[in-house]
Amino acid sequence: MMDLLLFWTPLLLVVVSALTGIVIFIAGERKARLRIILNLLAAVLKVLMVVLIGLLVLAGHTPEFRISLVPGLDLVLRADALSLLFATLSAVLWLVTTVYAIAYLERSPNRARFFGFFSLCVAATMGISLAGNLLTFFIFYELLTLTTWPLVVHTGTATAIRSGRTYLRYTLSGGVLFLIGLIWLYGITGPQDFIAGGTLAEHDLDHRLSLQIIFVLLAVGMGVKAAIYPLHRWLPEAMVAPAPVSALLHAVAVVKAGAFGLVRLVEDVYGPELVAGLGMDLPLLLAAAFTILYGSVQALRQVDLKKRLAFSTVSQVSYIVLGIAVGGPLATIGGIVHLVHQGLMKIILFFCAGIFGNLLGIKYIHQLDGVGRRMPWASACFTVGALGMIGLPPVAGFVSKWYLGAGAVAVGREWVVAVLVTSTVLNASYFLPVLKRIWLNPPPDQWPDEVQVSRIEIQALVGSAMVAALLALGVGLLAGHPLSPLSWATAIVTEYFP
Amino acid sequence: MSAVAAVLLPLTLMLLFPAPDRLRRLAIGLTPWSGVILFWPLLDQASASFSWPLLGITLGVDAVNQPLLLLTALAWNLSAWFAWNTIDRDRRWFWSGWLGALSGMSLLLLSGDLATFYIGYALLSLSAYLLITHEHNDHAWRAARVYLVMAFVGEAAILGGILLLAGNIGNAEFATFPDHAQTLASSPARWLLLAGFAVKMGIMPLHLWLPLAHPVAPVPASAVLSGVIVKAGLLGWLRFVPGLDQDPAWIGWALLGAGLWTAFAGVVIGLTQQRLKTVLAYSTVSQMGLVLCAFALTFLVPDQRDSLLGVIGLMALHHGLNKAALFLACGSSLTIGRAGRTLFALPALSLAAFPFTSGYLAKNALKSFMETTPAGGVLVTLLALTSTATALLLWHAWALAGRTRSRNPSLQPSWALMVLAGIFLPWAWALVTGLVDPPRLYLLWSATSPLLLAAALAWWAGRLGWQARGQIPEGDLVVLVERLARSLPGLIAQREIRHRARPGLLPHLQRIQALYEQHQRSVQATGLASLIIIGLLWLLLWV
Amino acid sequence: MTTEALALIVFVPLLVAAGMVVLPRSWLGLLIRIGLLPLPFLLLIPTMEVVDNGAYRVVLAGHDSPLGIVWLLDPLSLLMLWLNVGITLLVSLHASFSFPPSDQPARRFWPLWLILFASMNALVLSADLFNIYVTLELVTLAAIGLIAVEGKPAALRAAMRYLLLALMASLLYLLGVGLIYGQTGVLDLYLIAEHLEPAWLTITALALMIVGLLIKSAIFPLHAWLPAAHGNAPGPVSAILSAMVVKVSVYIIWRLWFWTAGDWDLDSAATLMGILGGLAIVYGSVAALVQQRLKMIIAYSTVAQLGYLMLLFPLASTLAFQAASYHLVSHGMAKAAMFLAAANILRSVGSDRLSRLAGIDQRLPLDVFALALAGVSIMGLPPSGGFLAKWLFLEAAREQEAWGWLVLVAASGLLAAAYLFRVLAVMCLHPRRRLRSDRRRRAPNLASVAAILLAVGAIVAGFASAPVLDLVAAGLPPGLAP
Repeated sequence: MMDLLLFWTPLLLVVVSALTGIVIFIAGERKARLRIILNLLAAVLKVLMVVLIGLLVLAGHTPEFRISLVPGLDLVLRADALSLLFATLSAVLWLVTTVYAIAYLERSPNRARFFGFFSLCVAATMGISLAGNLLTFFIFYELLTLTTWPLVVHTGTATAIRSGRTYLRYTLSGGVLFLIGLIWLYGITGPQDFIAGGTLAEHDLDHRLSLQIIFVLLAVGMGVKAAIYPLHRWLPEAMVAPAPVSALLHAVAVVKAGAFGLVRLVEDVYGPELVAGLGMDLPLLLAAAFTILYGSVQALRQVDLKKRLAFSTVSQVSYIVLGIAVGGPLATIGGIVHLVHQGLMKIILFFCAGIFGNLLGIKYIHQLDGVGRRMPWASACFTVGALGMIGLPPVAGFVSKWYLGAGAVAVGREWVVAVLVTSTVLNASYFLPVLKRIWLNPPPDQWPDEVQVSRIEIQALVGSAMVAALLALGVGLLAGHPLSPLSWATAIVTEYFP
Repeated sequence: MSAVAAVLLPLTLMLLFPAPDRLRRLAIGLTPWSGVILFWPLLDQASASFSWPLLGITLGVDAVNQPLLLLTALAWNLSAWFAWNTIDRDRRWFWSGWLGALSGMSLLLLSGDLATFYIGYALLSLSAYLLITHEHNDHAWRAARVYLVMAFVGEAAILGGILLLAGNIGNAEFATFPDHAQTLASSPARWLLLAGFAVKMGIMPLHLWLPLAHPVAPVPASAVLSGVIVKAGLLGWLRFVPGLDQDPAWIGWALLGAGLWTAFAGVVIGLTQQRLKTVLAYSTVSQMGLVLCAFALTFLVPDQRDSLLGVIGLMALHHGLNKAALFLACGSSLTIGRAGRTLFALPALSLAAFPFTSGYLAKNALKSFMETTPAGGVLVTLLALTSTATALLLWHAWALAGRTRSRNPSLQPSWALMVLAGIFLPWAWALVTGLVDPPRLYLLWSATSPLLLAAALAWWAGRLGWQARGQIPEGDLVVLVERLARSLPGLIAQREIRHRARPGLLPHLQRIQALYEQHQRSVQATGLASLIIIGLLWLLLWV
Repeated sequence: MTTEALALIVFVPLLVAAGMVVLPRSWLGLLIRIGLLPLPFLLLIPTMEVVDNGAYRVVLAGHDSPLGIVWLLDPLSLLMLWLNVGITLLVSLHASFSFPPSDQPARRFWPLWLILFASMNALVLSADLFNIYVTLELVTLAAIGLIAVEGKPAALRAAMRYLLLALMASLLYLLGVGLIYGQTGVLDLYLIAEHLEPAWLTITALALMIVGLLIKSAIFPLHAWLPAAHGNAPGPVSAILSAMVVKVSVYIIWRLWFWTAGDWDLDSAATLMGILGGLAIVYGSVAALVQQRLKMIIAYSTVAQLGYLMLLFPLASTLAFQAASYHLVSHGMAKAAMFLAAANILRSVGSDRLSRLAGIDQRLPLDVFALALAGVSIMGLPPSGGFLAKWLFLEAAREQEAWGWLVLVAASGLLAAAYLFRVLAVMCLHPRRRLRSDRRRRAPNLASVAAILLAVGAIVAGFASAPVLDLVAAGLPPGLAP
C-alpha cells in the first residue's frame, strides 16, 4: 500500500491538472459552472496532494514514479525537498490564480480554451518541479513552452500573435540548445538522476572542455526561460497576455521553470564545486549581475505598467541565478528562497495591474494617479508587492536580499553587494514614484475605461491579490519559523554544502 | 513584552485606520498617546529575543539607547498632542506616517541586532516621506523628492554596509561586536555605514535634503524630524561604527574636521536664509556637526569611551527637546505676548549654551574631553566659537520669528511642556549619570564670552545695516545637483517601445519558392536531377 | 501456419477487391469489413513466429527464386506490416465516412484502396528484386488511381504528373534489376550480396535502382510530384500516401543499401544521401512555411520529414536504425492524423486556404486538436514519438561525433515549428476570428475520431517505445548487428 502510494502520487500530481485541462476542453465553452467547479476542485486537490507528498517526504520517504521511455532512458518524477518547494509554490499560487482568473475572464470569450491550457500549463510546471532527471525536466520544459503559447496569444490581437512568435522563437531555440547539451551530456555520463551535489565530478579530468561547453548549452537553454540578458526579449513582449497569465508566467510557470532548471543544473547535475572548478560560475554570475542591473534600468524607462513589471521580473529572476552562481551556502539559500519570494511578490503586482487594467482601463503608469482612493485594498496589495521588490522589510524580498548579499560577502565576492544595492536603489526609483502616484496624487475626473462589475467579482480579484500579499508578508515576517520557505531552503542547501 | 508592545502599538493603530467604525475611533483616540508606551520598556529595562520573525529579532534597552528612548517618548508625544490640535486635513495620511515613523523609530532604538535595526530604519525613512509631503504643494513635492533620493542613497550605503558585515559575522547582536573587532576594523563596511547614517544626520555635504524637508513638513512633524528622527543616524553610528582600539587616530581627526566644518558651515548658510523654519533646519545641521565632534572623540580618547557615550546622550537629549520646542514655536505665534516670546527664547538660549542651560552642560562636558586630546587648546576655542555661531543664527531666527505670522495663533500647552522638558530633563539626566561638574568661574566665563562676542557682532551688523546679500537657496548644493540631474543624458528617459510591423523574410521566401517550384514541376527537370544524382552516386560508389 | 497467415494478409484484400468489382453494390460495406478487420488478428500469427524464432522465409507456390515468389519476414518487415495494417485500418475508418459505401465514388475507391493495401503488404515482404518491381508498380498505380478517384481537375493533373515520373522511376529501377540479373543471375535480395562484386556495372545498377526509388519516395530534389499529388488527393488517400506509400520505397532503399550492398564501403555515397536528406528537411520546411493552403503545407511537411529517413545512411548504426524506424512509425501516424484532420476541415469549410480557416477551432475543435497533437510529434517536441525518434537520431549522431548531423536534427524542429505554429495561429487566433455563417456539412464525428486516434498514437509513441525498438534491434542488417 505504502509502495503504491509512493509510486503513484508524483504522477497523480501531474495528471490531476492535465486531466482537468482535458475535461475542460471536452466540456466546451458553454459549461461555465462545471468549469469553475472543476478548476477549483482540481486546484484544492492539488494543494492537498502536495501536502500529502510533503508529509511523506517529512516522514523520510521518497515518492518516486519511474517509467522507461527508451530502454535506458527513464522518465522520473520524484519528490525531494527542492522539488517540493517549487511544487508547493506552484500549487498554492495556482489556486490563488485560478480564483483570480475565473473572475478576471468572467465575460471574455474562449474561456474553455484558456482554462484548458491554463491547467495543462500547471501540469507541465508540476512535472518540472518533480522531474527527477534532466531528460524528464526537458520533456516538461518543452511541454511548458507548448502549453503557454496559447495563453500568451490568448487575446488574438496582432500584437499578441507577434509576441507569441517571439516567445516561441526564443523558447524553442533555447530548447534546441538544451537538447544538444542534454544529448552530449548523456553521451558522456549516461542517464543520471538528479543527485544533490552533482554526479559529474568524476568526468572532470577526461571531458573538461566538453563539460564546459555542455554547461553553456544547458545554461543558455534554461537561461532563455529565466530571461537572462540577452535572452530576455520575449518576456516584456509576452505582456500582452491576460493578467492572470502574466501573473502565473512571471511568478511560477515559465520564468521560474528556467530559474529552477538552473538551480538543478548547478546543484544537482554539476554540483557547485564542479561548476566553480570548471570556471563556469563567474560567467553565470556576471550574466546574472548584468541582467539585474539591465532589467532595472529598462524598467525605469517604461511607461506601460505591465512592461515595467515585466522588466522588473527580468531583473528579479536573475537574483535566483545570482544566488546559485555566487556559490556558498548563504547565497544559495538566498537564491533558492527567492524562487518562492519573487513568485509571491510578482504575482501580487500582476494581479493588481490586472485589476487596475480590467476595472479602470489603466494601462500606463501616469494613469495611476489617485487609484489608492478608488481601490484602496488593491493598491495596498500593490504596495506590499512593490516594497517587497525593492527589498524593504518586512516583505519577503528583504530576506532574500539579505542572504544573497551576506552570502556573496562570505565567499569573498564583495562586489556583488554593490550590484544588489544598486539594484535596490533602481528598484526604488521605479516603484516608489508609482506608489506616490497611487496614493498621493489626486484622482482624475474620469478613469480611462471604467467598467461596472459585480461585487463578487471584485472580491475574488482583490481577494486573491490580498491572499498573495498576506503570503508575501507572511513568509517575510515569519522567515525564521521552522516551516517557512527560508528554513526549507536552508534545509535543502545543507545537503549541497554539508 | 514591553519592548514588543512599544514597537507594535503604533503599527497596530496604523493598521486599524481602515478598520470598521468603532475600532477605528478607538485607534484614532489612542494615536496621540502612542508615544507614551515607550516609557514602559525604559522603566522595566526590557529585553526580548525571538528567532522566528524575519531573521531573528533582538530587542533591548541599554546605556546607548536609553537617552534616545527618553527623548523619543517625550518629544514624540508632545508633538503628537500639538499635531492633534493643529493638523486639520488629510489626517489619515498624516497619522499613518506619524505612527509608522514612531514604530520604526522605536524598533531601531530598541533593536539589538543588525537586521532589526535596518528594518526599523527603513520603516522610519519611508514613513517620514508621508510627513514631509503632507502639505501637497510644489515645495513639499520637491523637498520630498530630494528627501527620498537622499534617503535611498543613504539606505543603499547602509544596506551595503550591513550586508558586508552580515557576510562576515551574520546577523550579529550589537553586544557581540567587541568580539568581532578585527573584522569590523578591516571591513569597508564602516565607511559605508558612516556615510549612510551621515545622510540622516545631515552632515555636510550629505545634508542636502534636510534644509528642504524639515521646513516643508507640518510643524509637529518638523519637530520630530529635526528633534528626534535625525538621532536615528546618531544611534546608527554608535551601534555600527564603534570606536575600536585598532583604529588609527586619523579617523577621529577626520571625523572631527567634518563635524566642525558642518557646525560652522551650517550657521553661515543658515544666516542667509529668510524663512524661520529653514533657519532652524540649518541650525540642526550645525548642531549635528557638534554631535559628530563628540562622536569623533570616541576615536581620539579611547579610554573614556563609555563616559563619552553619556555626553553624546546628553547632547542628543538636549538638542532634541530644545529643537523640537523651537519648531513648535513656529506653529504658534510670537505675537501672543511675553509668554510666547519667553517660550521661544528659552530653548534658543539653551541651544546657544547660555550658562546653566542644558546646552551649557553639554558643552562643558564635551570641552572636558576635548582638552584631553593633543590639540586640546585649539579645539576648545573652536568649540567656543560654535556657541558664538549658534547664538548669531538663533538671533537671526528670533528676528525672523518676530516677523512671521502663524496660521493659528494660539498657545499650545504641548509647546510649553516641551520647553519645560528641554530645560529640566537634560539636567536631570546629567545629574543621574554624573555629568554635572561643580560650577567654576572660568567655565562660566568661557561660556559667556562667546555669547558676548555674538552680541557684539549682532549689534555691529545692525549698526552697519548689514544684511545677507543674495540668499543662498534653501538646500544650497541641492540646486546644483538638481540641475545636473536634469541634464543627464536620456539614459533613463522613459519611452514606450513600439513595434513597427516589418514584412520580414516571408515574402522573399515565397517568391523564391514559387520560382523554384515553377521550374521543378516539369518532368524534364526531375529527369535531369535524377541523372545528376545517378552520376554523383555512381562516382561516390566507385570511390 | 505462418505462411498461410502471410498469404492471407496479402490475398484476402486482393480477393475482396476483386469481389467488390463483381458483386452488387449492397455488398460493399460487408466486403470492406471482411477485407480489413481480420488482418490484425491474422498478423498475430507471424508476429509470434518472429518473436519466437526470428526471421522467417516463405516460398510461395513451391517455386524458389528466381521464378517463384519468395518472401522474407524479418522483424523490420513485421514492423512495416503492423504499421501498414494499423494506419490503413484507422484511415479506413475515416474513409468509410468520406467514401460511404452508398456513394458513387465508393465503388471506385474501395477496390483501389484494398489493392494498395495488399500490394504494400506484399512489397514489404518481398525478398527478390523483381517481385519488388511488380509490387511497387502495383502500389504506384493504385495510388495514382486513388488520387484521381474523385475526378477533380487538379487531382487529375497531379495524378498525371505522378504517373509520368513514377514510370520513369520504374524504368530506372527495372534497368538496374536487369543489369544485376545479367551479372549474377540471382534476384534474391539477400543472396545477391554473395555474388556481387563492386564492379562498375553493378555500381551503375545500384545507382539506377536507388535513384528510381528516390523518385518514388519523393526525396528532394526528386519530389516534384509529391506536393501536388498529396495536396489534391482525397483526405484518406493523402493520409496513406504520406504515411505509407512514400515510406515503403525508402524501406526498399534501406534493404538494398544495408542488406544487398551491406558489406561494401559506401561512406561517401552515404554522405550524399545524407545531404539529400538534409536538403529535403530544409527545403521542405521552408516551402511549407510559404504555402497558402493547409494540405499543401502538410504535403511539403512530408517532403521535409522524409529527409530524416535519409539520415540513416550516413549515420548507419543500431541507434540510427532504431531512430529511423521509429521516425517512420511516429511520422506515419502523425502525418496521417494531420491529413485526416485537414480533410475534415476542407470538407467543412469548402476550402483549405489558410485565410479562410480563421476561427475554425470553434467549429471543429477535435480536428484542430488532432492537428495540434500531431504537430507536436512532427516538431519533435516531447512527449511524442517524434521526440523519441529525434532523440535517438541525436544520440546516434553524438555516438559517432557527427556534429553536423546532430545540429541539423536538433535545429530542424524549429523549422517545423515555424510552419505548424503559423497554421495554428491562423486557425485559433486570427484577429478576424468569428464564427462564419457558411456552415456546410460538418464532418461526422467518427471521422474526427480517426484523426484523434492517430494523433494520440503519435503522442503515446513517446512513452511506449520499447516493443518497437526491441523489434528493430532484433532485425538489424548483418553488417550493423552488434
